[in-house]
Amino acid sequence: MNPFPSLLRPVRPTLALVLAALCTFSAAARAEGSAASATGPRGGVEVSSSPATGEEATKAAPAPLAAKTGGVSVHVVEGARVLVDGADAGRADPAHPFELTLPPGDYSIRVVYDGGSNEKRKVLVTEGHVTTLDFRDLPGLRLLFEKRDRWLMGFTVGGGVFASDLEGSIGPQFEAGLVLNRALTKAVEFRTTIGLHGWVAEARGPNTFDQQGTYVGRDRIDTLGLAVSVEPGFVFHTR
Amino acid sequence: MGVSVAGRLGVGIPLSVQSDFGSTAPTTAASSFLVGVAPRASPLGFAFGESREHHIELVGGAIVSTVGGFGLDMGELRYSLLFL
Repeated sequence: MNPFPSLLRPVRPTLALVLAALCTFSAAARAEGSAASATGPRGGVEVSSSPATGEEATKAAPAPLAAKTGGVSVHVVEGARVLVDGADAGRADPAHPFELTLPPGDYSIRVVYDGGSNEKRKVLVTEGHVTTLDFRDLPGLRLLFEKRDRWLMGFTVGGGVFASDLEGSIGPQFEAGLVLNRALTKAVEFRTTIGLHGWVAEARGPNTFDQQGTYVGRDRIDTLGLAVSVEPGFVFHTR
Repeated sequence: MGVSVAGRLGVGIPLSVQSDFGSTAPTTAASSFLVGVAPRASPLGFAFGESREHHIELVGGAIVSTVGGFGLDMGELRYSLLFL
């Protein structure tokens, strides 16, 4: 026998409503969480922030997760592990940016390349923004030693001023050719240009009149030169 | 996308035909064949693009030939497009 039938009747539907509301809220929270992950890491990594920030995020649970996070897009030059504040966040490959979804705050992002070298940078993650960290171009002298094994080829065109002797002949020059480029390190490339180099010298406008001012001829081209040129050389980059 | 400041050192090996058309009389035209070396340098250049595929450089140098010719590359703007 229920001594308080009048009390339980209204309670049951209330509990049911609360449970339903909790289930709905939980499902919505899961959906929001998965949506935030889907927009984030290619490698499926979502890194939590420091504990204090994490607690704040938990307290602000009703707000959408995406609105309380920021992103970091990490670009690497070769396969590397990505560490966020010392924690392994996954593996990045050079074909795609490695996306991290993080609560706002300061982070230390380190990439450890398969070759053993590593690089660390600080980043400030702000809410709703994606910050790009590009590790492909390393600063300083490390450029000289970081290997870059790659061939490129292309073409080249150019033009300028050429003096064909030391007697005042001067005229335009031009060239066109093929370029073979071999990247030795990130800073040094070995480049060979194979092409045609031509020049025109000279057009002596003032000399078309002699000392007495007599017209002695039209403007003229004194020299035409055409050279097949093979030009190996090194290109040095600062970054 | 990045911009890189580049320097360049190179040595050209020109094989050229140089025709001298003389002064006022075109019949004085003469040709000389020269073989030489052409040290060239580009102290200033800019490379940009995802793979630094665009390269603009200011080239200068000299041509010293085996037949006494001497050419002075007083400045040339060169553009290179590299692709795989």
